[in-house]
Amino acid sequence: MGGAAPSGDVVSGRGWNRLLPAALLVYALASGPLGAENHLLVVTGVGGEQSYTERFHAWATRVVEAALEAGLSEDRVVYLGERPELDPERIRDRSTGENLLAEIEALTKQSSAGDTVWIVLFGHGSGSAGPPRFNLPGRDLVAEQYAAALEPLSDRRVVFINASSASGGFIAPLAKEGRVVITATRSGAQGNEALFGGYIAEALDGGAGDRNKDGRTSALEAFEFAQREVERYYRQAGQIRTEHALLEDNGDGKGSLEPAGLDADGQVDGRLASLVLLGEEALPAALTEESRELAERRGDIERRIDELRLQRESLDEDVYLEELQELMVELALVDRELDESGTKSGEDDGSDGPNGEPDR
Amino acid sequence: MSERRHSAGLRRVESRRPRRADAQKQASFIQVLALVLAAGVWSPLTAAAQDEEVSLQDIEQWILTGRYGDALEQLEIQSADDAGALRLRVEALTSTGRYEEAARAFEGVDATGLGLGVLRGRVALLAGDREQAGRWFEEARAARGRDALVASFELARLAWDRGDIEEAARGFYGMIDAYNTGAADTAAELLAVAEACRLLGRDDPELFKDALRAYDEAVALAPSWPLPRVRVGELFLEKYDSGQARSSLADVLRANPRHPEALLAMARTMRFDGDPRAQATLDAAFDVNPNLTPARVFQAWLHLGAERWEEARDEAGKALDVDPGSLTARTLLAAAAFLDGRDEDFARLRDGVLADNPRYADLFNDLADASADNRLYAQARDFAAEAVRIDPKSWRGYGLLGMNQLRLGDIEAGRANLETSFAGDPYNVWTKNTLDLLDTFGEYRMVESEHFEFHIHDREADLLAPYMVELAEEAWAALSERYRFEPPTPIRVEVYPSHADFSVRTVGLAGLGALGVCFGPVLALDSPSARQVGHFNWGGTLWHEIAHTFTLLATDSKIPRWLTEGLSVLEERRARPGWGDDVQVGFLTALRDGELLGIAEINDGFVRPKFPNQIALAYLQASLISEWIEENYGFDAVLSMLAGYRDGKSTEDVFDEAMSLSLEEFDERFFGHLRARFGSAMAALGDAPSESGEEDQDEGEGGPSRAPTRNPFERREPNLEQLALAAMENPDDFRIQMTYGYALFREERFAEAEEPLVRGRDLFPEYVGSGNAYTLLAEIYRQQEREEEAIEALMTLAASNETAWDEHLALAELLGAAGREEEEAEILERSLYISPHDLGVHRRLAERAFASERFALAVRERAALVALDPPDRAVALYELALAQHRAGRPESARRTVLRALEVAPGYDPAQELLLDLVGKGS
Repeated sequence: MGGAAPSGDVVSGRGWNRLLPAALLVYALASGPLGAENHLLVVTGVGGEQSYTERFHAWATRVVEAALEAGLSEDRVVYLGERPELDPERIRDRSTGENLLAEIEALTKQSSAGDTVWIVLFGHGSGSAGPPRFNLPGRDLVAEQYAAALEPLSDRRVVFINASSASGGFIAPLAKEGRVVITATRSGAQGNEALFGGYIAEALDGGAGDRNKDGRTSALEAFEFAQREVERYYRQAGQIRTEHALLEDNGDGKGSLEPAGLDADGQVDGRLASLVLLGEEALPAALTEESRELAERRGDIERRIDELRLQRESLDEDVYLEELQELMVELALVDRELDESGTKSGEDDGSDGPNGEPDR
Repeated sequence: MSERRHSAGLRRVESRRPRRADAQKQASFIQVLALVLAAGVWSPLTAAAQDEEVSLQDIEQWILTGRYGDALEQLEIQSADDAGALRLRVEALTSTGRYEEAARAFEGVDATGLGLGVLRGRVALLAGDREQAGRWFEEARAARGRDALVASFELARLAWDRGDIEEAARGFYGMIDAYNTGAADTAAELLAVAEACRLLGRDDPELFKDALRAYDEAVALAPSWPLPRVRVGELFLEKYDSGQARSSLADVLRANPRHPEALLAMARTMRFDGDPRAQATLDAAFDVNPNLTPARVFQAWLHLGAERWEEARDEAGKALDVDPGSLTARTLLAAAAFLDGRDEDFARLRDGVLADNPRYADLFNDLADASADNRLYAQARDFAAEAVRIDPKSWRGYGLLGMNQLRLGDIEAGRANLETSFAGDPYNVWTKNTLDLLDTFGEYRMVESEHFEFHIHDREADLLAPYMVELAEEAWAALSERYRFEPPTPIRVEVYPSHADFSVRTVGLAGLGALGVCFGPVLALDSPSARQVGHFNWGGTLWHEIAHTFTLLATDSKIPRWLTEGLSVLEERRARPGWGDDVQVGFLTALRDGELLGIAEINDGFVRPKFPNQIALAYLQASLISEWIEENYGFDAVLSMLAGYRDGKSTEDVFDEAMSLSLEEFDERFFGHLRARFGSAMAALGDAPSESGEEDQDEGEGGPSRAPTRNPFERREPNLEQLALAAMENPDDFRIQMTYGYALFREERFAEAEEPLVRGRDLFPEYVGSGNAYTLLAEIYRQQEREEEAIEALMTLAASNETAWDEHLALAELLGAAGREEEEAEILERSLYISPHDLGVHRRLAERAFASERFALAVRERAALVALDPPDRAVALYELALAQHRAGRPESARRTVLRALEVAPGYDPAQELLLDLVGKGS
């Protein structure tokens, strides 16, 4: 027990399967054409001390495994580490600036328009003196160099997560339409050890960050999870919080402490991040006519739920709940039919739900 | 007074005043030359005097650095009889309290003609002869000499002191006019202008700024003259800005560490800050001037705060011996009479003061302060109301009225009076801070239970309220039965997530070390989020404060501080294992060295501790006294004591009636008991130094913080060989055994560490502080897979240490792994009183409760998880709904599961539960 929430202890695998049709809709919004691929580049910088080196490696490993678990093929997952000998099988090469730039360049060749490219940095950074930088073995790369390297990926969706201390200075140089930039701190001056990376890794791994239980963790969900857990950590420890993460995805270069998600309009960060998911979506082999119809009904109910939720403030609590209940029951019954129609791509894993409640 | 004057304040006449930048350069010149002609109170030296072997300037320098005796001796030798020498002689005599000699020094001298009329009047004032002082001032004014302007101020001040505020104000505004026309241009005159502005601040608070400006100009003109800086310090303290006060006074004391008025003002500031050096500083003032009347009065107030009425009266008597008309000393006597229950004496003294000054609101303000210091908040409120009745411009009175109304739970009336006070005096930091705090009250949610009304910040009310309500009602049931008394309800409990806010609520300023406070029917305490985990047990604190409510209200707040604190700690100890103060090394060394206070003095340990840790010792000692009385004479003896105090009896009578013991007999028996109980542990401490000078601890109402302190057994680079030898040669020395054991433990030489740690544990088994043997042994046993022994060690620790967070969790984990689930749940429950913020603890408790079908408990724990805003909110809501469903609360379950589905509409377990709840389950 401690400050961190155990991950995945009560999440059954069924939500993923059940919500496939809905997830497909989201996926389509997020990733453009069906069949678009995800790519991941994870980098650990200079630890400075053994304990940091090991910690960054553990976080990186967690993200790598989460990606593989989510369906990315091994050739689309690259890990550059400070000390490759820590895990020679998984760490492709040393995380020097040259290697890092070479991998980004390789990604431009390997990926296609519409693909999603995740780049995640764990380590130390600096930014209070000179340009913002991420500390690598050998010569550091500064934010502008990352921006230049990513330029050829402008027709891909890029999720760039710099989980290092003093990373806030990366927001403005890297901000661009179609790109999600997440930093552990809001400025280059927040140079204390950052805990954000550990929580980002936890969010992406095992569903801990999957707030809406659709079986996938979006970049926004991961951000919100990590943000909340960092806050919880400092509150619980009674310490002054020294890191405030930012998310930027509307291209204005400002970043938000509290991005709005799907509700966001173009002026507010969070919309794109809520649609970008780590991992591959298995495509249903063949939807029957009946299940296609059920999926459409389901989508319609979800839209009505969204509309109702928007009216929540203006409705009496009891009235709201009555109407919500009606829709939720309807949705649950459709989902039950979907279950029974056998259109799922996966099989029920038979795991127990919370408190030993057997899944349906 | 005219409106123009009222609003004008000071206007600088630039041509008559040196610029500040030049002031330092000009000062010596001004003192030696320009002020030669001024001959005010701070008159310069004559040219002739400079020819002496020891010049008057040398003597003046001696006075400025506190060498009053040397100065007087030299002046005797020189027999100088000019104005400069006479002034210095009188300065030295008055600084050392020799007022009669100072008065005699003027005999046969034309003081007015020498420009020393004001000084002569002030000497008469110091000796309490106001009429004569008035005559000297009048003479000086009529003579139109250089001290005529200051004489006008002094006459106005006399009018002020007898309550003729209008006449006084005319004189004070005259000083402002003098400033504005450039007529006030000596340091003495500027000081008088500053004082006038300060006293007129009640009409126009902007004049406080002008006062500071005039003080500054006086300082600039005569940088070595200490008095303006002393007055600046006093003004800042009056506005509760002790930092600025200290700074100004420290400047004075650096130059003259024996300046009696600066020492007094510094002692007041230290007292305000809770600095234990206050008494020593005051004593230093007495060493120089034993007849400093305000210092005697202040000393008397300190005695009064310690509930030592007799000493307070004696001290006030000394002040009145010097100045029989002193309003402040007579006010003190009135307060002592009031607190001592001598109603007739009180009425006589009060009426006497009012006869001399019918508008002396500070009589009632001081009575209000004294009442609040003695926890008589209703009486404090009533006195403050009387203060504003006789002087509607007593902003201090409105502040005290509002503050005490807040303490009694009358929030709106309190706020209104504080607003009035603030409008009249916007520089009062206490008032401002409190109003700022009141502005945040809208963020608090009220939660009512049968006997309590909780006010908890909205963001943590969902989490805290269930636990607080449960614990408070449990305390109510236990204490009302035990004390056979039920306080009026509801009891208001304010819970602050910011310690600074709690501190402001309590003392008007940030920085209070206390954890909780009880005003009788109103409690305030830190919420668990206000402190670091492991530094605080909010459950124990709440119980402690509720116990105060019982003992205060059962005795009409007449219970002495030591007993209400002692009983509160004792009640904590009875409520849960581990709650209440523990025996620390410092307590035993204090017992060994005779530093613990006898029953007649124990209040001093709370109110004016002589060393930083004394207050913590006093809490523990008071609790052990309470415990001992109950063990030996039964709880009825305690109830008898409470009744005795309520009836106004003295401690001597109370002890005699309850136990047939004199205070001396009690001390003898109690200390005998302590020595028997802790004899072997004391012996095991060897010659460990006393902790009387060690680091500060949090203090105040609600008990000292039990925050972990530095591990006393840790050595930076321990020499293991030397330690091993020392341990072998001193097998019965607790500290040596623990130091050696800890050094081995740090080296992870666990097998070797066990023996000295076990020995240390057995030598002083009550020691559960930092670096205790139990924690270390438990870790060793865990490493060696000796889980049962680890459990036993941690059980022992948890039974005595209420804040050991990590150890509680480790123990719960071990118990869970050993299948001792009920004990695990109990330890986890207790850990919630250290911190309710840990998701894992709630989750584990919920699982245990669910598995054992205690669904109400499961609901509480699942609700706590939701309140903590867990990452898996949908799951947390679903699990709460499920627990509610099982607990037979289908409507709650329905609402909660809908909230889960709001977050995650497709979350299938929640869908299933909803369908079940609406009768459509599969």
